[in-house]
Amino acid sequence: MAFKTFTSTTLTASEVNDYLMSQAIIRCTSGTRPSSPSEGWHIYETDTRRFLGYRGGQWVPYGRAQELYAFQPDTVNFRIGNDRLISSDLKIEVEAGKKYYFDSHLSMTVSGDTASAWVEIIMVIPSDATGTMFRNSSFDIATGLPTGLHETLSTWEEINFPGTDKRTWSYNVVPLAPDTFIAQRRCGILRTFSQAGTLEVWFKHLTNPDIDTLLMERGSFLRVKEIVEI
Amino acid sequence: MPYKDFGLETLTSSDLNTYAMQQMIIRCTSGTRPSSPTEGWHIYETDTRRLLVYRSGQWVMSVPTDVTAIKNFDESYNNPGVFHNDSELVLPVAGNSTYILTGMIVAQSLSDGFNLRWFFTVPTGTTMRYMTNHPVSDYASGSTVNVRFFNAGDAINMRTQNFSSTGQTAHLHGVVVTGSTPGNVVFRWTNFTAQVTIRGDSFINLRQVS
Repeated sequence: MAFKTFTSTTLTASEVNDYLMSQAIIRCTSGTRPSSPSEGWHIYETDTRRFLGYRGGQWVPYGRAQELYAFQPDTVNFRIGNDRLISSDLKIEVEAGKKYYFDSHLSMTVSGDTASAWVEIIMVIPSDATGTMFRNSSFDIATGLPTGLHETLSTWEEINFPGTDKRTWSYNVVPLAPDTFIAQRRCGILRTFSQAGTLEVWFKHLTNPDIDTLLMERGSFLRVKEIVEI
Repeated sequence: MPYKDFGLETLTSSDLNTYAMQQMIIRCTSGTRPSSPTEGWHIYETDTRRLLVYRSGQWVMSVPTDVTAIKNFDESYNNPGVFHNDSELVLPVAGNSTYILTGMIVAQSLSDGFNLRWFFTVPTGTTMRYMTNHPVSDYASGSTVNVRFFNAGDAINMRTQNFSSTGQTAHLHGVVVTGSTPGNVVFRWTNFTAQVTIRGDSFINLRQVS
């Protein structure tokens, strides 16, 4: 690899391989990637239209493709009849065998019986995925007093709910007053193994029937990014 | 330069240099960059994992790139007051560059208290400022709420409570500005009294912005 200023010599096969082929931007498809790449090889996949570099033992897309976003386009009331488990628009596909960093901003308004109206926010991931996240809220779960900016304690949560096809992280919130606005940030690490799937945000209003509305505010978002390790 | 549609002719060394070599993504290290680049050359540094372009007389990032160091396993430590370099939370930085730092430190201890202490070491000439959102021991208004700035080298006491098998997290966010000397940003830590475990999935991330 590296650079060479050629002079009047015979061009050898190894020179073609080392200086040209391994340093060109190879045009291929996602199914015809070079079989034995080394650190720093680059390809453009004509079927996915992605520019990727071989970094840290994996093909990683550059630019926007490396970060994926899902936005809540409109404010939606997730208190629909007696349905208790509701999927939102916040979902992003993740591949098998990857490490991801994810981040989110979840804005909600809950109204109803403030003394006992509980809502559960659930992160759904592939069945054999693991990970760790932390969360900060505009709401103090420890003292029951709004802090305005952040939650008192930043505890970590570890995925430990193996199910038949999904795993979940859950966390309950309780409104302090009618029409309480709650904002929460969740971010952390997601590791996938043999199963591809989606990272999703779901909601569940618990058995309490007194929730009138559970509004997921417009602009809530979920962001996922592949990790490139050094 | 640029593009040439070759016909039936002998491939010359000049052709190779002009149409091929100067238009490759040259794979090198930060110490073996091409010595006489011109505008538009591209390199990929295999040690820093960055794609760079030679623009207006200097190597700059072609596209924003970032690297992450992540702990793949829990690590327990009990040698009070004796700091050690974390073997996994280490990231290289180039000289004369600016990075945005993000990270998550997940810690757990056998008892309540400010049992985790850490700081960062950085290359000579580098400045680093960052904030955390976890409890620290010297916060003026109490020990449970804080948003603080730190400089690299300032030791931090982190509360690592043991709430029903859960520990605590610190979210790190800040900026690293290097001088002319490249090197590593290294997370160094120790325990204060009780044994501390830094959990797998803890990470630091540097996104180069200039």
